[in-house]
Amino acid sequence: MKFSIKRSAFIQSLNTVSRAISSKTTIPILTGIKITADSEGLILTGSNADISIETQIKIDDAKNELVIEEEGSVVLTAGFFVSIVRKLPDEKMDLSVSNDLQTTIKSGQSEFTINGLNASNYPHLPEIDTDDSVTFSGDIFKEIIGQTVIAVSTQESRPILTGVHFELSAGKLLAVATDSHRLSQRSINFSGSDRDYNFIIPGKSLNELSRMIEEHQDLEMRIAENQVLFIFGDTFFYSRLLEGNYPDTSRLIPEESTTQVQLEAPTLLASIERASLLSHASRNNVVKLTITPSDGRIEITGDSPDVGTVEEELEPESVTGDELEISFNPDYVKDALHSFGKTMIEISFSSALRPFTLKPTEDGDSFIQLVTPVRTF
Amino acid sequence: MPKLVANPVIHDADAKQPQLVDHFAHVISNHDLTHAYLFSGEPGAGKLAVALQVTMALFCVNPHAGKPCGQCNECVRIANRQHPDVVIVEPDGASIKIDQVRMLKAEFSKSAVEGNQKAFIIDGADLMTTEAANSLLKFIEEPVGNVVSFLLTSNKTQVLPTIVSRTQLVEFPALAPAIFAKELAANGIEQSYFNLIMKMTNNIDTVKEWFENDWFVKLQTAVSQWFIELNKRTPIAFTMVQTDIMPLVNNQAAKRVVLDMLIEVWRDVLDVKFNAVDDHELNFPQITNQIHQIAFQIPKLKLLNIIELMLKNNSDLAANINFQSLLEASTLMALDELE
Repeated sequence: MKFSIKRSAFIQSLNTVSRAISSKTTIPILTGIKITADSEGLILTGSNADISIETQIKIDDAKNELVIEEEGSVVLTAGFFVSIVRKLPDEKMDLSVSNDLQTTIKSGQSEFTINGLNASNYPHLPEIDTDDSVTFSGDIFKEIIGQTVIAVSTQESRPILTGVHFELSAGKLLAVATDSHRLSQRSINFSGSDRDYNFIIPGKSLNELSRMIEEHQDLEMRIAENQVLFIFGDTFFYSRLLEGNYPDTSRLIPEESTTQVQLEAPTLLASIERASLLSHASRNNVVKLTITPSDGRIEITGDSPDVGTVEEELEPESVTGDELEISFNPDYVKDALHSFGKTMIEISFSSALRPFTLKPTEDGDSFIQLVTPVRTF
Repeated sequence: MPKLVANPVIHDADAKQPQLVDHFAHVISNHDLTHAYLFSGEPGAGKLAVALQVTMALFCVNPHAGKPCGQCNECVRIANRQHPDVVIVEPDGASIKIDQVRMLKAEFSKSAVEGNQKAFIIDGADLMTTEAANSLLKFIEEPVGNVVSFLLTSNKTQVLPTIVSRTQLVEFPALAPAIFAKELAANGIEQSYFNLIMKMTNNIDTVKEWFENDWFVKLQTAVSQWFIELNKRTPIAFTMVQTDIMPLVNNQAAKRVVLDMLIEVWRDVLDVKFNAVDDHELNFPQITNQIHQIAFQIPKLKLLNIIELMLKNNSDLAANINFQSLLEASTLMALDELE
């Protein structure tokens, strides 16, 4: 293999694939970056087995100044290879690999020779049909990730809950995550595919994906039996899926409520953040909400006998239904409120021991947060 | 391009456990493989090689009658432990660590990286904590997807009973002496040591460790010399403990080797006296004459006393008695018996 390339273009692609590479890997070859040169350009691949990122440097893009003299492939240890490329003196660089995988990197007056690994030992990424693809706006998908991934479980006892459940059917995408204390569900309509899918993507993969999607970028999603592939720009992002049956969450969301509160999300958020200052210092992290519809007020109180107490009254936009006292973990509600941004929300309660829902007043059914209260008596 | 050499794992498995390899080939070609196996056998009995060999047969692109080709990319990567869907866990130090168990659980719950087949090989299944083993039970028992687990142990009694009951037990017989001899020869070990080594271990890796810097040879010579001095009934045997044997004892494992050697040299005497073994079967063929001499001279009862002494050393060592004192004491007592 032999090619020369503009260094800045190469570095940019190296940075992209480096995101997937970790120094802690189950198999040693994954500490490397796979570089393949073919007639269309260079393909760089990085992987930690859970996610794999592949990016293309096209030969017909003049900005890359890419010239391929000989096709081939090699795997180079990411750690020092990336550092070497970053520190090379000249604007251009040459890379050539000999038959015994000795790799020579030249730039200006500098020349490095490092040992490569055989690319045939590198994991094979699945080939995924174009038939099974759906296209989303990257911005919206990023939003879906941000809204659901907050509720994934960090506990290893039920691995299936460490992912976000995606259900695609009849032109509707439903994304749900729950750690069994709270739940977050977002749905959107899409067009372009009428096939049904049902799969679970690990939360960690989604976080990484979300960081990589740039603004106003389209995102193509392709689904295979064992992996999901996202394509944006010249980058291919593969993630393994979680195996098993996701619990049926559709029954968890209550249909009816007895008490309803409408208010601006940031107002409540600020108030709960204040109340949680004390609850965090206490042994039991609980905040109480007292709702009195007759005088249109709600009161947030924190009573931590070992630390102190806090009281705060709020006047929401509207309060309807029965009187209610309910206690909850403020962190769950904080996470939920964060995900709404600056919108008017409606909180619906049915009893002090039943989960309550938070949703935006506009377009309410497309985004629902569910929080389970804490029993305090 | 990699050269077409015989796959070392397959070679190892074939050489060590030909019957089990054939058995599994049969099971695979009948599609009767269950989802969890417990391989039990001594270190060096080829458990890992067979587990890898069976795994290769599952992944191989051109398997033949339940056996892997050993040459295809899948087989090569499994042999090199570079396959992302074959997860191999070995004890990190003395036990399998909590991080490794966490990684295992995560791997068990994720889909395969490449195809839809996954394999798990857990070496040292007895070296997990009870909680760790219990938390893996669910995954081993009811794996999601196409998964085969191999748990390997050289100490079956220490494996959690709940694990044993959920896996299919495969007992690995000790290596046939001829096979082990071949392995020893392949590692350039002199034939005159074979009998002694085979009495003491079945594991080629242990043997390789022993032969680093000729440690084993030096120790064997020292023990032989000690025996010769005993034969002469001179108290020099006593001082030899300090001058010749102790300098070679640099760790706990070495102490056991010394004690085993002392037992084996006296076993030779016993064998010559009562079992009329051929000289080439002796553990210490280098000192055949002296062994014959003692065997001829010593009364039966006294020989038994000495052997008793040598066997007792092991329990004394476990009781943390100073190793040098222990050797010196048994040397003096042996001299007493020989008088």
